Amino acid sequence: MPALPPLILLLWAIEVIVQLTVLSLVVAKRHIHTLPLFFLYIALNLCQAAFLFFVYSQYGFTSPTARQLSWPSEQVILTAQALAAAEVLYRVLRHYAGIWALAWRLIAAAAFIVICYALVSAKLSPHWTLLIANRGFHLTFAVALISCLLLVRFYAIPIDPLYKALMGGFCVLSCTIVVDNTLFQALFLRHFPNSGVIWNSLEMVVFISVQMVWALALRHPVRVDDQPELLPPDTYDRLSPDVNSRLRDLNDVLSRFLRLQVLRP
Amino acid sequence: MTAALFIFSLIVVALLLLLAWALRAPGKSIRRKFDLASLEESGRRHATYFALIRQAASPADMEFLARRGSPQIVRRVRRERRNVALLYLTQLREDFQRLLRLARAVAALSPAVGSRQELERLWLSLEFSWRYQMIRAGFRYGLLPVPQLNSLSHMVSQLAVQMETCLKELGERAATAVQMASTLDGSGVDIA
Repeated sequence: MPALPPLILLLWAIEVIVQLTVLSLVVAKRHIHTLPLFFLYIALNLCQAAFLFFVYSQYGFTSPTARQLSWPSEQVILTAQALAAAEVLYRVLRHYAGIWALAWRLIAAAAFIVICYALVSAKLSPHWTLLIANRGFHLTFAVALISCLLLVRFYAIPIDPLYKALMGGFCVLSCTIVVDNTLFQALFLRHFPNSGVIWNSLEMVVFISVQMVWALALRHPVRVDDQPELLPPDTYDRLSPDVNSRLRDLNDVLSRFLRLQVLRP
Repeated sequence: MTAALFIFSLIVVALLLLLAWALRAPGKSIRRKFDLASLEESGRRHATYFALIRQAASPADMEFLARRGSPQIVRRVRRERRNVALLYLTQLREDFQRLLRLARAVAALSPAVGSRQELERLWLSLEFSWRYQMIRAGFRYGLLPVPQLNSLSHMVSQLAVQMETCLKELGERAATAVQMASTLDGSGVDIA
């Protein structure tokens, strides 16, 4: 049985312990009722860890067989991650139907742009297709989630600290993977020794840190958030054009102000 | 490949900064967005001060001072006029911000939101912000003279009257939204 690097083994053990802690907190603090997809994501991560441990132990850490077996499991995790993040975002915006609809359009637009980029760049480097596709996914994920968070801030919608921690963790994790994959590609092409170990270790360290933050946040229950009473559907249609018209008028004042000054001798 | 690493690192740093900004604890200004008092302030809008501003910036006064007063007084009055114009600009921006707050509160509590309206509002805010900074910098560094304002008088006076009526009406119609948001704020939930 080919030996795994000791550092990876150590990180793996810590990762499993932290994930088990997160999982137990989700159940013990009754978050499982509100965040079932997040629970599934953590559970699948644990299953993947066990599966990869078996694969690497059997076929070696850098063997082509291990690579062929490990990448499909990553697709399952990525899908679970996207669903879990969407679930958290939904929890934040579920009472705000209009903004939730707007957020979905924003996610679709951001995803379309970044996926197009990822497809083009994956075609340009056929040997690195999987890695580039993975990077593209994480970039799409981070851009879409951050866009939605900016939208949430723009409309001053309240977010519970737990949801902040979860979404922040997802973003930090994806951003790290974007840099990590690029770093791995650079090190590998320069025949840097142990580039695979560096790649895995960096990702695992950040993953463990994120899980620790999640564990701390999950200790507290979500604060009770009453459903705000929505306005009648026609209020927006009547008010919004009026407000925009006033804003245009004020903008016009500044515009004339500026033109007057520029034209003055 | 090093270039790719550099570019992706920059993108990630930018994303993380945006994330930190989006998730940071709400400041006073953010809390004000759902502050009932700020939306229900007295009907007096700053655009209504335009006549006073025009009087303060009257070129006749400056000509008189230049003929009769000392150069020091002329300089001092010019400086004061600039400060008045700057203050007026700031107040105009406050009117603009108040309208924006109102619009956001209504959008947040509406079951359906039009992307076109929202995008237009975002564009108007960016445009206003850019023009405001340009004019302000021009005044502050003496790059632009304080305008005589006469030609704006009619337009702004008209606007002031319209805004009075409009904001009163909008304020009343949005009362439900603001009341609800104010309750949320009071419950101790973070406003992101």
